[in-house]
Amino acid sequence: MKRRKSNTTLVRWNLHTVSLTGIVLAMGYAGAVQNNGVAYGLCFVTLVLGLMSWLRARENLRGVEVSMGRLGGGKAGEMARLPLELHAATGQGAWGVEVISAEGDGRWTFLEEVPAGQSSHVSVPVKITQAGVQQSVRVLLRSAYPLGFFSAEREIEIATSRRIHPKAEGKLPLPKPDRPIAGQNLATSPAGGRPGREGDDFAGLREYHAGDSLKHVDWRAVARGRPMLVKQWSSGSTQAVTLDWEKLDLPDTARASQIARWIEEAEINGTPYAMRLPGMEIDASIGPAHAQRCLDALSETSAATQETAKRTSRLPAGHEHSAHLPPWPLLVLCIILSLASLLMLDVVPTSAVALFFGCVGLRLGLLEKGWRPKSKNAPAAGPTHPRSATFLGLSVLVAGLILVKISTGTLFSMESGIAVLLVLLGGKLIESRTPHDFQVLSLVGWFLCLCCLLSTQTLSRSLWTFGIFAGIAICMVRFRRGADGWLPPLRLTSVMLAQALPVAAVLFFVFPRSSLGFLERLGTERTHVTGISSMMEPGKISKIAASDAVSFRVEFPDSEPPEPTLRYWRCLVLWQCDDGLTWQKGLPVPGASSAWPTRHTDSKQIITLEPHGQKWLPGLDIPIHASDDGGTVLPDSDDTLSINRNVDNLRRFTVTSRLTQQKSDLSESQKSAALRLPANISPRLQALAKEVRGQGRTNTQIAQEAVLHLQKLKFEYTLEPGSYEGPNALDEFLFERRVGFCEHFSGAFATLMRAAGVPARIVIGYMGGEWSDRGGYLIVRQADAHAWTEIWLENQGWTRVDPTAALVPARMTLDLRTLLAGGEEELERQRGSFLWRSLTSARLWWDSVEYDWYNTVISFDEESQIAWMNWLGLGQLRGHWMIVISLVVMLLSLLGLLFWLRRPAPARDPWLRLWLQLCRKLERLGAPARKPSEGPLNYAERVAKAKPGLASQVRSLAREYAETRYGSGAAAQDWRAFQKSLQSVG
Amino acid sequence: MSSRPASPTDLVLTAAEASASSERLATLTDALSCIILGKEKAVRLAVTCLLARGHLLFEDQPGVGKTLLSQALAQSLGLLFRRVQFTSDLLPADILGASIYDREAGSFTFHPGPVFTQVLLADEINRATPKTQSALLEAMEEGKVTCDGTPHTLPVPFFVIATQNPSTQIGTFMLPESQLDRFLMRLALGIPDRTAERVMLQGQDRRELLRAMPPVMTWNELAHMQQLARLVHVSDPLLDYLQDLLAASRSAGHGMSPRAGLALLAAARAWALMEGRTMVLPEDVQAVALPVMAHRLANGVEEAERLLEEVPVP
Repeated sequence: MKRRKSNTTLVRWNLHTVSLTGIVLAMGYAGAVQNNGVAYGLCFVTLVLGLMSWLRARENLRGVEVSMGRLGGGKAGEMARLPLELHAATGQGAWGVEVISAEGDGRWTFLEEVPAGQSSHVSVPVKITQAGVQQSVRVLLRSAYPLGFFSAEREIEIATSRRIHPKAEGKLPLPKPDRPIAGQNLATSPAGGRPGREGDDFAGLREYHAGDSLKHVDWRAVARGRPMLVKQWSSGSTQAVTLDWEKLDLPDTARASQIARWIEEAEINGTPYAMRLPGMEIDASIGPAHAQRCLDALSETSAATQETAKRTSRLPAGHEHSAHLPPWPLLVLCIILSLASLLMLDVVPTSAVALFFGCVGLRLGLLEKGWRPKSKNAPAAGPTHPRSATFLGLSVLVAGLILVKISTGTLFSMESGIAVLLVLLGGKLIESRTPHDFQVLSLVGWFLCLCCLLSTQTLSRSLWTFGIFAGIAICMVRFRRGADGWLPPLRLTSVMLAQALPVAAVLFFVFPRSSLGFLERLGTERTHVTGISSMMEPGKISKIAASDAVSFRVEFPDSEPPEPTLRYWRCLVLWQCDDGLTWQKGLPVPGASSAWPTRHTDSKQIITLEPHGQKWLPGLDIPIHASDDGGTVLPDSDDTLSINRNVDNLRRFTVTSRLTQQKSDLSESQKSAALRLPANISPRLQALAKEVRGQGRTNTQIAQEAVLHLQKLKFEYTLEPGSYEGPNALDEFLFERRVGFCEHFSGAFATLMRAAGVPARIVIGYMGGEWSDRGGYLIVRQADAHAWTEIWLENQGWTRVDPTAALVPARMTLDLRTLLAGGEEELERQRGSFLWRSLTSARLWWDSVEYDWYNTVISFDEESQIAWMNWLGLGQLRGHWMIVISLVVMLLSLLGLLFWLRRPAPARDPWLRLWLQLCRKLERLGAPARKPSEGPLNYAERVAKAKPGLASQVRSLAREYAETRYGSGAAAQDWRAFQKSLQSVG
Repeated sequence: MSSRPASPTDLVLTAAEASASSERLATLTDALSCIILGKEKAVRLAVTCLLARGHLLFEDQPGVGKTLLSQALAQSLGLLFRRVQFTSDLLPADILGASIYDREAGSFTFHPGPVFTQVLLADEINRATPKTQSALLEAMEEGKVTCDGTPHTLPVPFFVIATQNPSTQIGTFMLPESQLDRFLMRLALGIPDRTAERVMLQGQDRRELLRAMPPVMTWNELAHMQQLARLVHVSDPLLDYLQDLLAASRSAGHGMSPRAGLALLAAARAWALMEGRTMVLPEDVQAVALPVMAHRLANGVEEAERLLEEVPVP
C-alpha cells in the first residue's frame, strides 16, 4: 500500500465568508450605535464561531491520511475505479469530505463521516486520458465542514506507476510483411519461433517460455518424461511485419493508437510482427506475451514523447452546488425561520409575515409533490430545476415589495427594510435547491436574529433569539453533511457553542466599547406601542390600563421609596380642553421654567424606561432635575420632563424630585390657558359652577366645595364606563350616567374648576407601582396609568387635586385590578391564596431577572466597562490595550482548540491504553522498543533478554494483559490493579 | 485425561482442560521428535495441522524425512496408514478404487482404492496429472468418494499428507492455487542441523526405531482434542488482527481468500491449545501464519513475512 501522508490543506474563503463578515460587522455596528449589549454579544458569538469554524475546516482535512489500493493497468480512454482508504488519525474524525479525482469524470464521492481512528473506503472513478506511464494520481479532498463558511481543500498526489496502453484506434491498413522471420527452421531456433495459430500446418516443437499458452504445451511429451515443449504451427506466410514508429506520419497520440490497433490486427490474423521504436527494437513474434511486451514499450515511448504535455483538468462543481436539499433539514429550517418571523411581528407589517408563511407553505407543499432529490449523488451537471420555481420566487419578491410599500408607506425605513428582507427570504426559499442556497437562507436567518433584537432586548426574547441562532447553526452543520440523522449535528453544534460562548463572554467584557451615539440611531417609529399619549379622550386611559406591560422601573438609590399615596409619576400636562372630557396638550404655553437647587431631602430615582415612542420622561411628582445620557434635562415650565427625540429604546436616566409642594408664579398666558373653556358649556354645568363658586370663596374653598358636591353625587368607578360622545358628553357623565374612570373624573373636575374660575389643568402619568423585594425596585405598569388635576392656588402655586382619590379612596392603596375585583376583601382573599402568592412572587422574580439582564448585559457600555476594569485593578488599561487583550484571548482560544482537535484518536480499551503505557515506560527504562507487529508475549521475551532484571515482572504483566485482552472475559481482571502493578515496574 | 467425546454443553474450554491437552500433545511431539531429529518446530506444526483437521503439504527435496514423519504420525496415533506414490501415469481409479464386474455375483462390486485409509501419504503429488490430483483433492474436501454414482464415505479421521518436489524440478505439474488452498499448511522440513545429523548418523536406523515405537495416543483422545481446539476463545481484537492481515494481503495482488482466513484461525486455535491456552493470542496467529499463508500468496514466504512485519497488533 502506498501511503502519502499530508499535503498542505488550503482553506479558501467563499461568498459565505463575505456574508458572515458582513453580518458580524452589522451586529457590531448595531451594538455600538444602539448601545445594545445583546447585539454585541451576538456579534462576538458569531465572530468566534466563524474563527473556530476556520480552524475546524483546516484540521478536518489535515487529519486525514489517504492511501491507495491496487490500481491495475488500463487503456487510454477507459474508466477505472481508484480504490482509496481514508483514515482519520485525530480524535476528531473527519466529516463531510468530498473526494474528487482530478482525472475523473467530474463526479464527487461524498463521505459523511470517517470516525476517529477508523478508516473508510471509497473508490473514485478515474478517467485514463493518455497513454503512457502514469507516475501519480491526483486526488482532491474538499469539505465545507463545519458551518460552510470556508471551503477546505487538499490535493493529494499518490505515487503509482502503471502503464496505460494506447487506445487501439486508426484506419491505416497493416503494413506489408517485409522481413523474414529470423531462422526458418523453427525447431532449431526456438527464440525466434512463433507458436502460430492452431489449425495451420504443424511446424514442430520448441521449448516452453513463461507466458506461453498452456493450451499449446505438448502434454503427451511431458507425460513421457520430456521437458515442457510448445507446439507450433506455420501459416502461409513466413514473413513478419515491422511496426515502425518513425515511419508513421501522425501526431503522437494517433501514432500510438494506430500501432496498438495494428498489434490487435496482427494477433487476430496470426501475422508475426516486430516493432521498432525510438531507441528500441523488438523482434518479430506473436502471442499474448509478445503483445503485452510491445504495448508496454509503446506506452513508455508515448509517455517519453509527451512529457511536455501538461495536464490541465478543470475541477468539477462540488457538492455545495450540485447536491439536492435533503427534505428534513428544509422542514426544520422553515420552522425555525417561521419562529424568527413571528418574533418580528411588532416591527414588520403583518402582511409581510403572512406572505413569508405563504412561501414556507408553498415550499413544503412543493417538497411533498416530489420536488426533491432522487439520489444524493446527483450528476455534476446540476439537478433538473423547474424554471417555474425561479419565476415563482421572483413574483413573490415583487408582490412582497408592493405589499411592504403599501403597508409601511416607504421602502427606506428600518421596518420596511426588515420586511423586505423577510420577503426576499421567502422568495429565495421557494427556489432554493442546493446546500449553497440553504447556506444563504441560513445566513439571512442569522441576520434576522439581529433584527429581532433591535426593537426589544428582554431576557426572554434574547434567549428565544439565541435559540433560533443555534437552531440555524445546527441546520448549517446538517447541510454540510447531507445525510440523515440529527444527533451528530446537534452534538457538534453544542460543542462548538460551548467552546465559543466563554470566549465570546470574555470578549464581551474586554473588547473596547465605543459609543457611536453621534451617528443616526437605528430607531424604529413605533406605531402600536401601548402607553400614554399627549391627548386624553374618554376611554383612552382605561384602554391602556388593561395592559399588564411594564412601563418603567424605578430604583431609589438614596432613600426608601415614598408612601403609596405619594407615588404620582408625572409625564404630561394637558392644557387644552376640547369638550370637557377630551383634553389635549395644545400649543406650548409659555411660562418661566422653575429651576430649583436640589436639597438633600429630595428623592432621587434611577428610572429604566421601556420604549414608548414619544418624547416624555416620567418622574416622581414634582421633578426638578434629571440627567440622561450624561446630559442634564431640566423640567419644562409645566414641570414635566422631555427630551428632543422619541424614546425608542430602553432608556436609563436619573431624576431628582421634590415631594413637597413648591410655590410658583402664574404667568398671564398660563392663567388664560388654564381658564379657557370650550364654547359649548351647557347651562347645567354653568349652574353647577356658579353654585360651587358661591360668594367670595377662595380657590381652596371652591375646590373643597366642588369635591364635596361631587362626592354626594355617587360616581361609579369602572374600567368599562361605556362611551361618552358628542357635544353633551360631559353633561351625560356628570348628570346622567355617572359611571367613569380617572380620566372622566379628572376631566370633569378640571372643567368644573375652570367654569368656576379656578385655573386648572390635567396631568397624566402613572400612579402607584409594585415593589419588588428581590430586585429592590418599583415596577410601574401600564395598568397604573392615571390622570389627575392640578389647580392654581394663591400662595401655594399649582396644587395636585386627584378627584379619583376623593371619590374612590381605595384606589390610593390598591392597584387597579384588585380594586375592581373587590377592593380590600379581594386583597385579603388573594393574600390567603397560596397560588396567588406564588404567582405573584414568580412574576416579581422573573421581572427582577429581566431587570438584572438589562443592567448587566444590555446596558453594558464604555462606563460599565471602565468600572469593571477598575474593579479588576486594571483601570489604567485603555483602548488599544484592550484590543490587544481581546486578540490574545482569541488567539489563545484558537490555540487551545487546535490542540484539542489534534488529539490522537483515543484507544477505546483501557487495557490497550495501559499496555501501550507500559511499553513506553519500558522503552524509557532502556528496553528495546516494541515493534507494532509484535504480540505481548513475544515482546516480553525480548525485554526479558535485554533486561533480565525486569524479566519476571514484565512476563507476568504481559501474560495478564494478553489473557485479559484476548481472553473470553470470564476471567476479566480489574485494570486498576494492573495499573498499580504497572506503576511499580522499574 | 478423559477420552470422552465433547458434549454440546462443553462450550467453554477450561484452563485445566487446556493444560492437560497441552501435556498430552507434548508427549506426542516428543515421541515424534525422537524419530525426526532437530525438527521440533516442523513436528509441532504437523501435529497442529492434524489438530485443526487440516491436510498437510510437504514441499521439500527428497530424503529429508517427509515419509518418515508421516509414518511416525500415523503409528503414534495408532492409525491406519497407506502410501501412494504419485506418477504421471497414475489414474484417478488407481487412488479411489473402481467397480469391477464380479462374474460370480453377476454384478459390479466396488473395490476401494488406497484412499480408504486414515492417514494417506500422497508422495510426490505433483508428479501426477491434474486429473488425478483433483480426484484426490476432491476426496480431501468432501470426505467421501463417488464411484458410479454411489457415494462411499471415507474413514474418520482422514488425514492427507502430500509431499511435492519443489516446482523448480522439471517434469512436474504444479498444483494450481485453488488446489493449494485445500491444504491447511505447507511445510518444509529442510536439512537437519549438524548436531542433529550427527546424532542421526550415529544412532539406529530410523525405520527400525519407527517399527519399535508404540502408539502414544488413541484416536479418540485426538478427536476429543480436536473438539477442544474449536472451543479456544477468539476475541474481537484478535479477529481485527486477522482481518487486518487478510486485508493487507489483498491490497497488494491476489490476496487470501475467506477460506484462507478460516484456515488461519483454525490453525491458530490448534496452536493455542498446543501451548495450553484457552484463548488465541496474536503470537499464535504469527506462529502458524507462515506455513498457512505462504502457499496462498503470490510471492510466498517473502510476502507472508512482510505482512507479519507490517500489520500492527491491535
